[in-house]
Amino acid sequence: MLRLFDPLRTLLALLLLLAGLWWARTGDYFGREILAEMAVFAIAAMGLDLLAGFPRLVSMGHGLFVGIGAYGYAVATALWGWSWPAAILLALALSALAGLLVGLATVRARDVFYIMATLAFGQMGYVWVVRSAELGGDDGLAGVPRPELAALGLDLGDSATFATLLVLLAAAVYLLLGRLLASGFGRTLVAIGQNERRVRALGIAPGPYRVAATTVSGTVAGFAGVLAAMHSMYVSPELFHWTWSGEVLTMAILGGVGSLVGPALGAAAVVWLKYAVSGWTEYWGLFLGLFLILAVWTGGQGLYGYLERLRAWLLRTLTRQEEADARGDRTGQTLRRSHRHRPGVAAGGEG
Amino acid sequence: MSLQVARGERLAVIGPNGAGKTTLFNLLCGELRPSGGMIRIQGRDVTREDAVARARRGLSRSFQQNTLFDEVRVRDNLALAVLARRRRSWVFWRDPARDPDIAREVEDLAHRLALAEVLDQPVGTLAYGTRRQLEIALALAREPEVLMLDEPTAGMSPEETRAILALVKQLPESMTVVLIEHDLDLVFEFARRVVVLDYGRVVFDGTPEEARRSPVVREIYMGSEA
Repeated sequence: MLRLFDPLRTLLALLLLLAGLWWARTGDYFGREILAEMAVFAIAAMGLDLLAGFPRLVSMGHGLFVGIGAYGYAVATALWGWSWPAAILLALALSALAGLLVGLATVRARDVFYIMATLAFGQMGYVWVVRSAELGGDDGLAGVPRPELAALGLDLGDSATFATLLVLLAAAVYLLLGRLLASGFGRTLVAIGQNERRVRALGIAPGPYRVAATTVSGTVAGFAGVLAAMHSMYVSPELFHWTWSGEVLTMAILGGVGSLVGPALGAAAVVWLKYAVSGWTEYWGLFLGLFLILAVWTGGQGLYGYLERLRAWLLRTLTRQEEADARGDRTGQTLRRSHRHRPGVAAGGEG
Repeated sequence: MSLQVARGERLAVIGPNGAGKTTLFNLLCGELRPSGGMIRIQGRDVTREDAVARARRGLSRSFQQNTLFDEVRVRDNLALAVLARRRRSWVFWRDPARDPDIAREVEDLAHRLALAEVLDQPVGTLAYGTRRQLEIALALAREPEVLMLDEPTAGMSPEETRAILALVKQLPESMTVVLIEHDLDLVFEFARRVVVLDYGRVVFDGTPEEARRSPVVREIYMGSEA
């Protein structure tokens, strides 16, 4: 279960936020563009974690929601001339609706059938957009504006301002989802992921919780799509494609599903890898594969899982050290007693 | 087979392995659909209702194999069950498990089932017998009208078995308790009625004293132990 105030999780989230803000201030133009992309993917991956990490619904169709969000914003602004707040609301409403429908349609699907069903929905969206002349077909839609915030003294055309905003929005999504997961609803989602049979025996129907989680997850992915459209000021059918869905899922797994901060870390790591490695070889996917294998090597806990192990190991080592000190002490008798409950703390941290 | 259980009854279902005891439980609880026949609770036909609906009607069960939320704490397991009964799990913005009345109920349950000391431990790290106690605690947390325990003491030490027996004997008289059990001492001490299943049929139905004397029961069930 997500411990809302787990210090390790909070610390990592804070570090990512500070690193992002610092990078937005000091990085060059290209660096800021990468940072904005990281933030977009981090939001999508955290949204996916709500499904994949807690009720353990591994969606391979999140590109659908991202695409709907991006196209919703692009069409409303570039084609219909709507104001940006109205366009964002429309995009979020559409992706929420899509999440609701996909949730309802997949409510009985489990495991590999769920993966296949979500994959199919994503590809349906892709084919529909590619074939649609009004939506620009294969070429996509250009001329998507960024919000006008001159009234607040902000110019989102400036890459530093835009990247900073996206990093802050990613932090906001993290807090929002964290709060949701620590609620009664979140408790139930976690329980459904761990033992659906018992959930039913307790008189809780898992269906509505799954549908609600898919709706929220789809909305968050749609929001990532809106930001992606603003970022590149252009939308293409690629956003719908299953490779996009697969990439987001890869990020979540690499970072560690079920921790919320892990997928954000995974998003940053994969985007960084893509640019850093593609600078000197075309085969960046090969390195991504290697990293992914490494990340799932020890039980699929991802990068965040390694951090948890590191913490558990440190706690154990420290405890042993303290006990050794206590034994060396002449007044060891009383000291040892006060140390005795420490290993329990370490064990609790591991779980 | 036909079986009627009155309110407040203390019924033990026994029989050799493969007699269909757990299948009977799964049919009664709605996990399995019967191919024919009818299941009624308080006169109402529930044959077509699923496990969720029957749980809400006041049917609560424990499982033969521990069916718990292993990766979270004992406290979270109990809280979920309490929230489910009070219909407080559909809350998006806050954690109702932090409410004092819920927290108190969770602690009370933990005390009754000797789980107070492990409340904050992840279930997966607990000893088998302790998890078995949690299995019963989750079934009890719904404050059911009908409590169905599927081999609650399986794999437990004699002391733990005594503790479970003491607990089920303290349950309110109005609660109907149906028990599958292999420990015959426990059955004879606890039950007021014993039903013996063999190959999916009721081969005996009577008081524990009658069961002890019954030649049928001796032959097919206790015969192997005598």
